[in-house]
Amino acid sequence: MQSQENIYNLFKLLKDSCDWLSFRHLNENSTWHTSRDGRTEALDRVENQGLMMEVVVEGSLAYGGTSDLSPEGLKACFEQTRQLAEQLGKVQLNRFDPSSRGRFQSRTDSSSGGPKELGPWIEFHNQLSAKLKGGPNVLSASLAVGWQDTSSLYLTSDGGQIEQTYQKLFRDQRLTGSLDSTLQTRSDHGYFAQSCRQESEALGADNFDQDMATAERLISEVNELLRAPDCPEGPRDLLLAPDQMMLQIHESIGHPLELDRILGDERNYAGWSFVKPEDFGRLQYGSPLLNVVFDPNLEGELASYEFDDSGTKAEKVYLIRNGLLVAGLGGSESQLRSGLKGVANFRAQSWNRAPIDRMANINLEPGTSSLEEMIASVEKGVFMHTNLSWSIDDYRNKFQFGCEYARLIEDGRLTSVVKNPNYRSNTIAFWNSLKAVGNASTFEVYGTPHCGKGEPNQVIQVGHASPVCLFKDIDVFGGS
Amino acid sequence: MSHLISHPSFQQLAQSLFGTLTGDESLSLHLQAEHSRFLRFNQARVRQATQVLQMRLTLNLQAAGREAKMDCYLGSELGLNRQTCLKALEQLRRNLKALAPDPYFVAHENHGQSSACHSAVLPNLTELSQLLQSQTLHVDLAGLYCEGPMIEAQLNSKGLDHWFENNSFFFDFSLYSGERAAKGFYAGHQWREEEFLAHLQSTKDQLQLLHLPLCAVSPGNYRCYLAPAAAYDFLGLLGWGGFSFGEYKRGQSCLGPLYDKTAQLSPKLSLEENFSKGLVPRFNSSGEIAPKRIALIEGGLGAELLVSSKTAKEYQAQANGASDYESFRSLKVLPGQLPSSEVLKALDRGLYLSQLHYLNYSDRPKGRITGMTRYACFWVDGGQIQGPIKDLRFDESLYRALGDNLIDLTQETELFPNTSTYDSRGFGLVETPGLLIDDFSFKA
Repeated sequence: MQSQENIYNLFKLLKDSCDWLSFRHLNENSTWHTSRDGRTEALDRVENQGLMMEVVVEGSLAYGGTSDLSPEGLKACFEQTRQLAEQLGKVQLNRFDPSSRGRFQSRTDSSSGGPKELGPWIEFHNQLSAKLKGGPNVLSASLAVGWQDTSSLYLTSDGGQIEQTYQKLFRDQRLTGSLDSTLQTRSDHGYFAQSCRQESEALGADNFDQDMATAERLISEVNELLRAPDCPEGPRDLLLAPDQMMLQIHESIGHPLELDRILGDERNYAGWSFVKPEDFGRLQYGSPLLNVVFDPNLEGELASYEFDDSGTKAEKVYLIRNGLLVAGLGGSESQLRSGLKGVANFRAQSWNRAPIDRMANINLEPGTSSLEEMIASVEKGVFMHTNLSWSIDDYRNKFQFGCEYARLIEDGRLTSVVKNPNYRSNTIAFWNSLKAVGNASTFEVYGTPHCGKGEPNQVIQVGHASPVCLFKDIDVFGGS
Repeated sequence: MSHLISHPSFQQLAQSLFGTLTGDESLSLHLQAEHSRFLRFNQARVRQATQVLQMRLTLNLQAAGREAKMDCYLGSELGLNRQTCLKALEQLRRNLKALAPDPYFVAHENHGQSSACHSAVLPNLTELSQLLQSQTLHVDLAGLYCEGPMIEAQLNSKGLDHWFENNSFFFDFSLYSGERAAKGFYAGHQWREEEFLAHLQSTKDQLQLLHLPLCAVSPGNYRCYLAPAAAYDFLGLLGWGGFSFGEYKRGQSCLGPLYDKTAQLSPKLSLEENFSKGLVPRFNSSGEIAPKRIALIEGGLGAELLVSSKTAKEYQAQANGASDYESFRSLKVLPGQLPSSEVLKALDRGLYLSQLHYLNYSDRPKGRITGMTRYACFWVDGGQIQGPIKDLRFDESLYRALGDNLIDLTQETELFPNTSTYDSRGFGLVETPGLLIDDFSFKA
């Protein structure tokens, strides 16, 4: 590992050799343990260290990333990046004024986490996956857990310096059951949905009793699904648990509000957006019950941070208030390009990618209904839990999503379990059919480390928190 | 411009590490390295320009029937790299102590030596950008141009030594007229301006067709033609565990019924893993060499699945050089009898689909797939294109679409190199013809 002193020294040496320069040094160490059917499948450690520099020459910005952190490696990267900026000066879409990036004070969070002893940590995971595998009709069970320590240093030639340190925990627990010719999978709230930012003392601290109880529940529910009929077809009121609301918010609010999509950057890959610049402040995105925020400060949520990768201070901003679209998800560059209000979300996957507009924590704020009141209000409906399948068009309008587990609601009561629950709708119609929002007692926080976007491609960690929500007359259906 | 590690330097680093092993320790080194330049375009101008040098080394240490892995990143100095790796080895030794013996342990072996290097002639980036601007005066272009060398290499302390180096480019772009768009793609080792301009012109021609009046298509079942790019999207989903023997045994393969022999596909359909083009390394991350050809589906019947050595040990099967994830690396769909020039006539009345988008399983164990149409998709009647359609959602069983409803495959095939750039660029290839399918199900 290269010392930060070397990074500072090289930065000082190079910072006056172009019009504006930044260094973003990342040091990210992760340990992953995957247990399947009671034994270790893999124990992997990743020590990811590299540096991304931004070089501006006469308004032309180019990015250069390198894993070669030796003085010669950094100098070579700088020369190649400066050359790229010079070479492309006349054909850049935008030119940037470096002074718009501002100056910032340092901030450092708490330091390293991780389990104190690896052996007992691994043994516990193997016990848990053995417990899952030992359930009736269970074909296979797995548990994957990772912890990650990240520290970043951002330096700019106009005096900016930001240090950030975070610890994160990632967790996925699932099992597949088989009975006759039926196969069903049940997980702990979805694929790596139990991922969060952690305080150091909590890292790796598995709760034996709670985790065993979760395993019992998953075994029981997969057996319910194996014997259940398919979800019925037709329009029904749809109650969505927070572990499906996470996906619903992500795909049909988060992505369409990204300003770089609206500006067309993503058209060739992830797609465009049905939202137009003139829609901000005018479009009734959802019913008046809908309030959605960009909130990078919610404690424990996966994508909480102090500054984004352009050095902008991250603060809570309303995106949708009382159903009205008020702000988009665009960082400093997109705000300059579009003239629209945005947020601090200019983020890169790692040191090897340039930042782009990303979600961070996008949360739906609690309402006033209790879960019991919402169920009691439904004559004919379905209560769906945990995302399993997702597909949406390239304008983020027409979608079809599937869940792992559901129960029918009949005459105000939860009744039988149904398998393969799916639903489809269109974004604006769907959010305007929102007829009740659960209160704070139904609010849950989830995260995913796997949001994909960008050219070159990038995955990024995002968080989503939501109460249970009720939608009117949605097309639902089952499996084959 | 490249400062990538050379084969001799990598060998030197490896030998210096192998010399530090003790007892029954065995070490395997897997290198993925690239020096890439990415130009992202919007409105035919450069939106973001990035160059990245990265060298990711995975160390796999084995001892006493246990193994653990660690990834670290390399620089250009042998001394510093050695120091980084020695520190990693110490961490791996501690990690091994925390593990129980692996019942499905596969010991490192010497699977031989190989070396391949594909060089490239790449365009001048300023000239390329200026060319684009001059050639797209009346259309709007968005996309990604990517170039540069990539290395995949594997060495182990038993004597195995594989090196695969490929310098290449791809340009994945789309042209827009308002919200109507057509997709273009040009890739290879030798940039030839006239070839690129031909691709650009053909995409412009397709964009012209999109100016025909929009055709309203109601949800329902239609005959449709999946052009090779759309077929690649549809069949690409089978890479999500479809051909994995491990996933099949654990109930996660959409092709379970095919390999259980409770279902079959059209006798016209044959798929194979085929490395004969030499554009993808045949060695996996353990250095095992896959056969040049593995029949996956033959005449509509399940043939072989992809089996890694670890899965083979667990389920007492025969390994066939598959990667850890047991997904295809170089898929070939065998052509059919339909000449591409007669596609519209054979389609007669239905949908011509150039591309699909955002596919996912809507019922994985039963092989049901959903997704959207995207880009230049047309309504065809009387064997003539009538006009573009609005995006449609499909939700269809692969056992119907590739079974009784598969009318034919085209005689001509197209090659699709892997353009994924998540974390790093990757090797991979799919060769497929177009697919003519009857009674394909489209939803509201």
